[in-house]
Amino acid sequence: MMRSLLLALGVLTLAGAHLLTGSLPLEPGEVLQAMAAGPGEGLTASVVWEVRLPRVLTALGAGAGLAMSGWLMQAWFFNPLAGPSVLGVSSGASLGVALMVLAGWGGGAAAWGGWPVAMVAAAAGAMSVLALLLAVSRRLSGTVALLVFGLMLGYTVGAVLSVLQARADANALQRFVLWGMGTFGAAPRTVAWGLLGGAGLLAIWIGANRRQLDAWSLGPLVASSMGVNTARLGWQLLAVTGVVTGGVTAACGPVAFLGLATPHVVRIFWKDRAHGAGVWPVAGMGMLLALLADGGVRWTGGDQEALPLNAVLALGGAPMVVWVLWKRTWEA
Amino acid sequence: MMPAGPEGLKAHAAVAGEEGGAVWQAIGLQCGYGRRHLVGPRVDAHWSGPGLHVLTGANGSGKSTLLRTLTGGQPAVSGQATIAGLRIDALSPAVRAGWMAWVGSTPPRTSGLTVGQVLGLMPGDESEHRAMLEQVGMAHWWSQRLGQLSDGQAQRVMLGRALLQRTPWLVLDEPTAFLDARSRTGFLQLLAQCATPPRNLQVMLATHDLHALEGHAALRSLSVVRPDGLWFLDVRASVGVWEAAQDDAHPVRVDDPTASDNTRQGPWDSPKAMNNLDPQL
Repeated sequence: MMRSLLLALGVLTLAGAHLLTGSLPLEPGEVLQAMAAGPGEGLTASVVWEVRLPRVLTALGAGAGLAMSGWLMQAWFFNPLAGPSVLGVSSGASLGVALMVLAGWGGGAAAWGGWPVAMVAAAAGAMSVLALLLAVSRRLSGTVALLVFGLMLGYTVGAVLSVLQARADANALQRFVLWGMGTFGAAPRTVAWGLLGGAGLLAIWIGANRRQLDAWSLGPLVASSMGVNTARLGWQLLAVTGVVTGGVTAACGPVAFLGLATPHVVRIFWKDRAHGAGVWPVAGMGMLLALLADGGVRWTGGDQEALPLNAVLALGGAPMVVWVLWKRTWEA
Repeated sequence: MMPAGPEGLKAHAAVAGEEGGAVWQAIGLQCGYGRRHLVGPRVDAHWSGPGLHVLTGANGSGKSTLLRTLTGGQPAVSGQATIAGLRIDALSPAVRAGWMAWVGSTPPRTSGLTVGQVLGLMPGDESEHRAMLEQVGMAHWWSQRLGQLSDGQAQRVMLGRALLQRTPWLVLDEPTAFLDARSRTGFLQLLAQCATPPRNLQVMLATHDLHALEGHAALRSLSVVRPDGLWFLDVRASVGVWEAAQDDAHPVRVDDPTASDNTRQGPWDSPKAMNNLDPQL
């Protein structure tokens, strides 16, 4: 309980810090006034409502969504190193976006203005990869085999991407490369709210299926013998994590490590492994880490975004993967 | 209780109440992975009555595949498996959960749930769950995490979980495969207790541990999966005979391979005994 409160406090504090800081020096009072007044004309209002708030909301939604997605993938595949970026799910989403932006499907989504199209394309890509993983995971037993499969998927998608990039025009290419570095700062406010809503739906789905997920942790055969419709649970899990990962990837680029590392950070501080008890800690810690990482992006280089988001996440996330491998033991 | 469970448990209660038992039957059952990859022999057999129904066979004989197909975990290539006349593969997981509870060979080592949380997934309140934990000899381990128990302890918890499902059949796929000698004997004793009065369950047990079962009163039927069919052996025979049957070309078997009932008649062999099974339902 104490930990959950501290986590909530941490998320609120960081979110506040993000709202109060930026390249345009604004007094806290001004920001609060603009927040209270609602979206409107004027520099302050537009900075607060169209730049800072969407960015915070995007980080919150993406962090929570990716963290819960990674958590679910680790539970589903009985694999502590599973996650959207590791298993190639983000790659699949990237491919969806690339086909649209670089190859010009869907009219280049009106040069990226068509967010719904971008999100649908990314979600379709993510779900295709997840469906493939679901189909092969019975054959690929063992922690490493599935990861290698995900890695190979990533390579394959990478190959297709490089072909598309070689043929793309310079404008689209620049856009795509910048997008690939990851940022919470690109999505407009409506998209940001959408991400947060998606994360909320994912949390509700986990809450509604917490006992089935707990049963699944005892093994597919035991869960099935307990009356859990494991096929249906699997497809639903694929759909919800696919939509959330796809949406986040369309809005923020293929964000690395957040989905993989967050559940492990939560496992350090929270001992209860039941899925009902884990929803808030995982979602909240995802938010906290996303805001922290964005702090690394925004606060390290003066006014400029000094580091790409994925660079910050990789610097923190890669040691985490090594640490998990080192410890070798884990509990879901 | 699993949200999907209650309908299943009720559905079974209605049927069991009428028929007073649940005969498990394999009718021309061929296991495998598609027609090109058949595993094990074609099986015609039925199992019924309280006690241990042991399924054995050499490694690679198709014993585990047969058990998975019998329980509906894998589709049959041809033929069918039925329980109380119902086709297993046509039952929803929820309804099937009312008929049989499953214990696998590897305890779920990666689950982070505590013993209490595992039992908490089953019907009943905490006092019932704690009582069950005591019956499987794990009374003091309520708040331990499953992954921190030894394999033998974890299997006891999983058995307790399966018993809480209160099904006519209990199915175990080599539950002692990864246990040391002492835990192995203890676990089989516990299982034999479940299969005799007062609990009097029908237990389907796939195992290689025939030594511990030799001459055991709870033994109800013993069948060997062989390339030429599923052979029912005399449960009163010695373990040497049973083991020879796994690779010998001409084992001593009971006359009618489909009639497990004539292998042994126990004192509990009355239809009424089944009514003891589901006081909760």
